[in-house]
Amino acid sequence: METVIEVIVFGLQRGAIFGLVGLGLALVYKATRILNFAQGELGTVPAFAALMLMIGFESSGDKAANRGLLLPAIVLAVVIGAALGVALYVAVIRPLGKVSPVTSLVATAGVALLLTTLELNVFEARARRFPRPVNGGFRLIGTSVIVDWHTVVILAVLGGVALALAAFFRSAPGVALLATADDPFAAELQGVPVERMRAMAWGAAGALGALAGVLGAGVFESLTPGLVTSTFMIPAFTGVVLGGITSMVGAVVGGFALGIVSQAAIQIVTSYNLDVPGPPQLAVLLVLLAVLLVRPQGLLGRLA
Amino acid sequence: MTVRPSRLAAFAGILALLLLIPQIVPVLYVNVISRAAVYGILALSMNVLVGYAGQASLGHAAFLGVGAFASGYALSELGMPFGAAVVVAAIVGMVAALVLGGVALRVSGLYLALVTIAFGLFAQETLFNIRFLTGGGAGQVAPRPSLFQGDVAYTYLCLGVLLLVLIFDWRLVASRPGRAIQALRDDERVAASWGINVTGHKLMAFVISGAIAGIGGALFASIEQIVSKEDFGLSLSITFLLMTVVGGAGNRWGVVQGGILFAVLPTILDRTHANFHVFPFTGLTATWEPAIGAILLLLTLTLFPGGIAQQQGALLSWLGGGPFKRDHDAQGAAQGGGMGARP
Amino acid sequence: MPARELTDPLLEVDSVSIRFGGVQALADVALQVGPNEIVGILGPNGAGKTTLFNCVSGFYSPTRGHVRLFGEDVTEFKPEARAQRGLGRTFQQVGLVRSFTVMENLVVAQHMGVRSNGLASIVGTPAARSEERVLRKRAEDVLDFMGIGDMRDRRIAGLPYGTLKMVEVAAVLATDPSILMLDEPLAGASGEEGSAFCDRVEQMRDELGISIILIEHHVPLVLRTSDYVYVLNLGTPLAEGLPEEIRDNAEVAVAYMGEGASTLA
Repeated sequence: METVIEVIVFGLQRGAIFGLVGLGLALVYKATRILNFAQGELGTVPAFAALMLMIGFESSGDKAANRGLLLPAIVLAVVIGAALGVALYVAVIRPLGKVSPVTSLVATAGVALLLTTLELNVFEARARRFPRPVNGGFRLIGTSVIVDWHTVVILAVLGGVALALAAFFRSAPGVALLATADDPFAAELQGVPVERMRAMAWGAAGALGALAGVLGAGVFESLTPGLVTSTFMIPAFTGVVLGGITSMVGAVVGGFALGIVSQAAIQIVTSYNLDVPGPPQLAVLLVLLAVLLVRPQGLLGRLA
Repeated sequence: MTVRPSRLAAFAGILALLLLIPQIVPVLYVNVISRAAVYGILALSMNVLVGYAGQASLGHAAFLGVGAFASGYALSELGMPFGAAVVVAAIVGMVAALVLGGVALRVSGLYLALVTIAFGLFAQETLFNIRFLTGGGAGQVAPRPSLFQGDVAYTYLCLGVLLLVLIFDWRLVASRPGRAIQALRDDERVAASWGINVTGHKLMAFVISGAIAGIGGALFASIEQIVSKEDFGLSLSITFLLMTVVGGAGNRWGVVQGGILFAVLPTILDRTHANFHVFPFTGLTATWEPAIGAILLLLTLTLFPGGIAQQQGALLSWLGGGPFKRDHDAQGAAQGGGMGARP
Repeated sequence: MPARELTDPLLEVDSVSIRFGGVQALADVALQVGPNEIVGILGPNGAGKTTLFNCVSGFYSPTRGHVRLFGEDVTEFKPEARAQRGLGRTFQQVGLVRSFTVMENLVVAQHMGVRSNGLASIVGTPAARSEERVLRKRAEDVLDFMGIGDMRDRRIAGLPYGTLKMVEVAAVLATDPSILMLDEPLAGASGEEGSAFCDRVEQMRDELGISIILIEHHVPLVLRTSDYVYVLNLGTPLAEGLPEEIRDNAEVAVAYMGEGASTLA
């Protein structure tokens, strides 16, 4: 029983980050019908910016991060994430023009590679300590399971973001944004500023990415180049598909499901002493294939 | 098509160049030529999928790896001859593509890309870590065939296989299934209204692509005669995609040049072999090479969807039997293939 | 006006309805096509004519109702399965492979008719090669029939719209259909070209034994060419009958021309 609770607690922590990344993916897909492979690096780059602020912009030294500056650092990260998102839309997505979803996915994969290479060359391929907003944890009542305060923080942020997005898509600008995705031409005729709405959606996705980057680095208390892409992106993708690709609630639920499934896979392999390497990656692939076989429209979405 | 003497001379020149290169390149770099040939094969594998069928795989390094480990296992554990090991690698690549594509292609192309990413990660973290198949961290030994022991001889073998794959590709494009695959790339609804089984032909393209990648993997394994899982990361998958698009998806000469370019780029940028296996996401040492590739990709997609092939339009048209003139109509289409802008 | 009941229809659309979100695009539409006949479908913009084509050819699956081809219920069949049973169609936005030449389009359109298997075709066996020559010959015949034989080596990208429409019809003819659905084949054509095209459609019926369903905005041409006419309005059946009955139908005239009109002509 304790093990099950432990799996769920750890699963929720990872799953919440998957959910944050997934919300960014779903938002961009909803607004522009593009699956953004660079979403992960919209998180890692701002996280590095936050780290730079906390260590006083000394890239060479291994100076400890000043936790007192964490809050302004997070604000900086969010601003940079939003700017990166808008820049990505203006500099890459818009010049691409009307292309197939597969082509735009390829383009964003190129962007991810570009950003990771930049990080590698500026910050070198090594881990740097990255602080959490709140340290320590508490014992879950009636058990011996310790819950990190960081988990609570991530869940709270995810909840807040999800509520804000849900409210947004019920508001007039939100409805207009959806209209631009469904029929850009008609939306334009009705006076919706299509280009600005789309750039805003990418900016918002960038801000979400930044939160995922900062909190995700906090999970490991360390930051390496390409971190969000290599650890969170693929489960987040799978979670979004599981949730139904355009559904915001689905992205969060899918993220949690993937977090718990990955954690359970690790637990099963360790407790039965199985000789199976990489259980989370195996679990992610199996979940993805199973969803596509049984319910390709996802749990909460409609087949486009 | 009549083959004019000048064109014949051009082909003879290309062939002579291919035969000469392994002789004139410094011994230290001969294996780079083998690698270039393997990348050329992988570019043709990607091209069947990306250029002809209009689908994308973001996990092709895993297919290369599956072929490499299958061949290595067949050679060193089962004691098979090299030719049989190549066939095993091709079959394993086909089966992997059949399973993944069979599930993902029922839904849509976007899902194939997703499934291949997940497969790539699974291959790297799970499959290639299974000790008895892949030697775990130590790697799997993959000896060369006795006739092609030396580096130069092995380079000729790789170039020879590249030529065979090129011939296959040429036949495929002109065949009934090849034409059907290209038709559905342009417009699935039209292809379906002509009675073409859309899902079946997409799957066929993916399976052919998997088989070619498997063959490439078998050759790859015996370049250094040992393979380990570090060779097959996500960024290599993205590199395969980059070289196909930059080369000019849909054009076999273009993509092969793209493959060669990306194979020799690290050597040109840094003449030591230290950076050879280094790519981001696996995070070892820093190099600018992937950034150059990514920038080339973005420039290609936004400015020249036809890639290298588009730049050489006139030359390629002439080599293909046409006049020495860029075929303007064909640019966004035949040459821009799977990655061009849709009207 | 009572719906006609053919004893052995080639195609039967049985009270088909389809909804998109909150919009009822088709409601209880019925249609029958018999052998060797030209059936016209009329209706103002937004009447649901193309939606009906998409339901028949399998690109939409109706919310309710059935589609039967040669007596077989194909409601759940994919588009390619319906094509394989002899149903051909054209598209409002020209359905051709844009990166191919005209000839290549007509060759790939004969996909279903090829006997030799894919592998033989890749290897290039003598049988496959001679079959390839047959395909090209047949493609040339169809292009000549459509009067565009001189276009065979042109690329699709770059051809004028009217020509594209004719190439598209040629490509569908090359699939050897028993039923041919034409979606506004005359968009962008002159009156003279329209008249010549209608002669050709009659030729398809009389010489090739194909039944044709024709959506076209040019009402007089449809009335002249069709053996039977269905009229849709706002997704519902408005009228059906012989061309002369439709011409004098006051309801149809109102739907098309507005209040006060009494005939279409």
